[in-house]
Amino acid sequence: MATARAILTRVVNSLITLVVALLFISAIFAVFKVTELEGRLAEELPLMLQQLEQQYRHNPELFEEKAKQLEQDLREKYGLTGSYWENVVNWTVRLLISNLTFNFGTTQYSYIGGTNDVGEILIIALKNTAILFVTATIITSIIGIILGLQMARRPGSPLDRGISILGMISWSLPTWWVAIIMLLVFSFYLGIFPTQMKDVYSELARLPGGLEYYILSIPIWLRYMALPVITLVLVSFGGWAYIVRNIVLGVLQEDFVMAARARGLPERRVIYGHVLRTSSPPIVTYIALSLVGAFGGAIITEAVFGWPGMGLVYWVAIQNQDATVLVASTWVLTVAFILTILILDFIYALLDPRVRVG
Amino acid sequence: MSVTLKSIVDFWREYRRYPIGLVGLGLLLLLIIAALTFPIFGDYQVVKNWLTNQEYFQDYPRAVPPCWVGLLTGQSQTQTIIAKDAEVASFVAVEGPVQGEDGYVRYRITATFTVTGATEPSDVALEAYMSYQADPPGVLIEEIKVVRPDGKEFYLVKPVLPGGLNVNLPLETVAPTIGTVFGYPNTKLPGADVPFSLVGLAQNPVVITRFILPTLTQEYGAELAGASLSQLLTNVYRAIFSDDIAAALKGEDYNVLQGDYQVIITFAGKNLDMEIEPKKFVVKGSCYGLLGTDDKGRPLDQGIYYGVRWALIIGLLTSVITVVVGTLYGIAAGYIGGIVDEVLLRFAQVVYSLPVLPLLILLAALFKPNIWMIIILIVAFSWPGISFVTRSMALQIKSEPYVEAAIAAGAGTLRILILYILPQVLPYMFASMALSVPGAVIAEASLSFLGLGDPDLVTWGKILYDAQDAGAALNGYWWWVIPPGLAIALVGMTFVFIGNALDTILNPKLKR
Repeated sequence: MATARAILTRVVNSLITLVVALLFISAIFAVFKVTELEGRLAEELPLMLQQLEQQYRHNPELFEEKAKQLEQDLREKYGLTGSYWENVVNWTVRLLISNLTFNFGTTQYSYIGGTNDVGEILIIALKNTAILFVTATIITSIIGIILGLQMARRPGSPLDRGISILGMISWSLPTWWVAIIMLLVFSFYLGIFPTQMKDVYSELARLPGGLEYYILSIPIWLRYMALPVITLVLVSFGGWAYIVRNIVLGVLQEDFVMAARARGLPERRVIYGHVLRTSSPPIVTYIALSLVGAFGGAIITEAVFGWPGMGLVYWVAIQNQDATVLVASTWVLTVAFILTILILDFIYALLDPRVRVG
Repeated sequence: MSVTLKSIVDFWREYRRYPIGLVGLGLLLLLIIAALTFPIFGDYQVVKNWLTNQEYFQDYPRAVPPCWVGLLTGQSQTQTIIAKDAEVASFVAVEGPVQGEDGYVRYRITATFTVTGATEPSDVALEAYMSYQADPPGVLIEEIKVVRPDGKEFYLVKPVLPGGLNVNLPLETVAPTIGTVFGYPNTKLPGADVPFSLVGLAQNPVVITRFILPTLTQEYGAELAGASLSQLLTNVYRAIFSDDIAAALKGEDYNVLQGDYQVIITFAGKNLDMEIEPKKFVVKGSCYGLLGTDDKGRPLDQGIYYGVRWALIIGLLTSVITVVVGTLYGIAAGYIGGIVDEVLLRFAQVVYSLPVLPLLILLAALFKPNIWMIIILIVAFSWPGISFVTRSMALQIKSEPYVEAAIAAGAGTLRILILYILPQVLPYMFASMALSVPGAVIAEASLSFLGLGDPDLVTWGKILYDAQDAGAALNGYWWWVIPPGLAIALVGMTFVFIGNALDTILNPKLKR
């Protein structure tokens, strides 16, 4: 019962966050859109009025009427019928609906997957981002947990100090900069990895169809994924290990660990059975937090590698000033992000029997 | 007063015991010195023209590595010389007027420079203030030549007849006028800054076909057989510095001849009255300064030096505001409690679970904010983390007897928050400020790297954006991408080290 309530609270929390994010994103885009459209109107209207004046120069009264009609039509076309703030509200509602239905329309620029439908582009991009980010996070967490446990068992050892300092250093490094350096070293100087990861599609397109495709496509994906994944892992495993170490170090001082040791349990079982089991809830919380931190960096890192994910979509959209795609991708990303946090919260609730609301 | 002083001294005694904290403090001192000394050692003109005025950087070699690289790799490089006004005198000499027996008055400019590198300098340029008058009309260019270290003379302009015959004719029938070569009036120039570029001359079709090729065929005719004209045209400049002129002209392998070069320009005219005042002398070498240049010739050392200031301003300002806002919010929520706490906490949680960077990107892309707005935006998304901790601290402090006593004595909420709770939270605030600097610096750099930073500022993120835009990593311009990132990391590390030491010392028992 208590667990059910805990889960319900979390779901409600996420929903509130989603609604706030939705309102926020729609409203700022509405402000931008209305300002932009007003500007366009102010540019177009005088030109069209001039034309109209030419047309009706013998009939000033009719011109007045037609002019009013013209302005009305244009305002309706752009959805600018009210005062500034009314327009903003109207546009916000319009965008709320399009965001909620994930119906973003089309874009004139070319992104990935050879389609102009924003929704389709974002599905492909989100899938690719998930592939990269999840792989990297899994590898990082395994390395981080193993290293962290080793460090906690021998605090003050060279390994402990070395990794701690490495963690501090990597905390200060922009992930995308490390990505540039990796490209410089492994693609430019050593020539081991490809430079633009979005080429993965053209290479995949050359494969034959059927079962063979699936078998042959795996090494290709791996080759293109390798450098981005290595970069993400390299930047974050130090910080991970450091946090796991601190959590485990706290647990190791608990009485039950001493009791387990006193019972003569092998150290291995004490660490992996008792300590890790008890440390796992805070570690999961940390995963959620570090996702928050690493996510932004990972997005820009994708842009550096040209990985066909959300990062590349952002990069292209910024270069083209494509506001529609920017807003749509921010919304999709926010939804994906909040859902991920929610799922981690569930896992936390499952792992920690003490979870109570409050 | 003495209590405060004593506690500061005590604190320092404790702090001294953390080597990592001392390293951080030392780095911070260096950064502050760097930020303050820019007006003394830095070149503000470079920074001012960085974003807007590409012409300012035309004298700098493009995309060349730093000069100390040569020392490491053992590969020799040609130093870049950019001499202006008074400095020019050590490279450029002007002789004249010399009255010749043939009735001509001659003036001669001699520019000396040294090539030590394995590649030729990308240009040798001179700018001089010139005014002249000749009577009868006609200022002639008697010769322009490069005297090479091996003693050979490479003529760019030489009085010869078409076909290469060298005959004893009056100068005015064979020598070109200043108009043909440089496009200046033949008779009289009241005074102007006149530029001269070796590349410009060596690629000028008129100069090549009229003077250079005839001279070359005269000297290397046999060896040049079989080379096409277009080949010769493109390779003239390289040939000037080649140890094998013919090979260079044909586009074959050659080595750059190292040593002292002289560029000599001789003007001649009857009753010529000329004033030549060298203003600038430039040799675009194969390396530049401490950190090289980017693809527009901008000297990266200046950009990175200047960037220290903004990194510190952005990092410190953002973290201080974030921590103050977060702390006040947190202790208010924790102390007041009840429904207010519930609402405040819920709101903080909502902000906390928004993806910060995507939203920052969206806002920056739509509204193109300046740096102060960017700082406010970063603060707007990053205060909740601090508020959670300070809230739980306030929850515990408020049940301390001394707070209860204050309440009983009738102290108001504001008084208790500021005088009783805030001082207890203060140590934690300092540690948090230090620890949130890297995040702020990285966030701003990330926005700049996406091209969304303040359009009027030179920051490390923007230098990296330019580098990414020019494909620096894929062209191997390591000196363009490594230093700005290291600088960002250095600022981050400085504060992480300080923050870690503070955290270890001050970590109050209250903290979860």
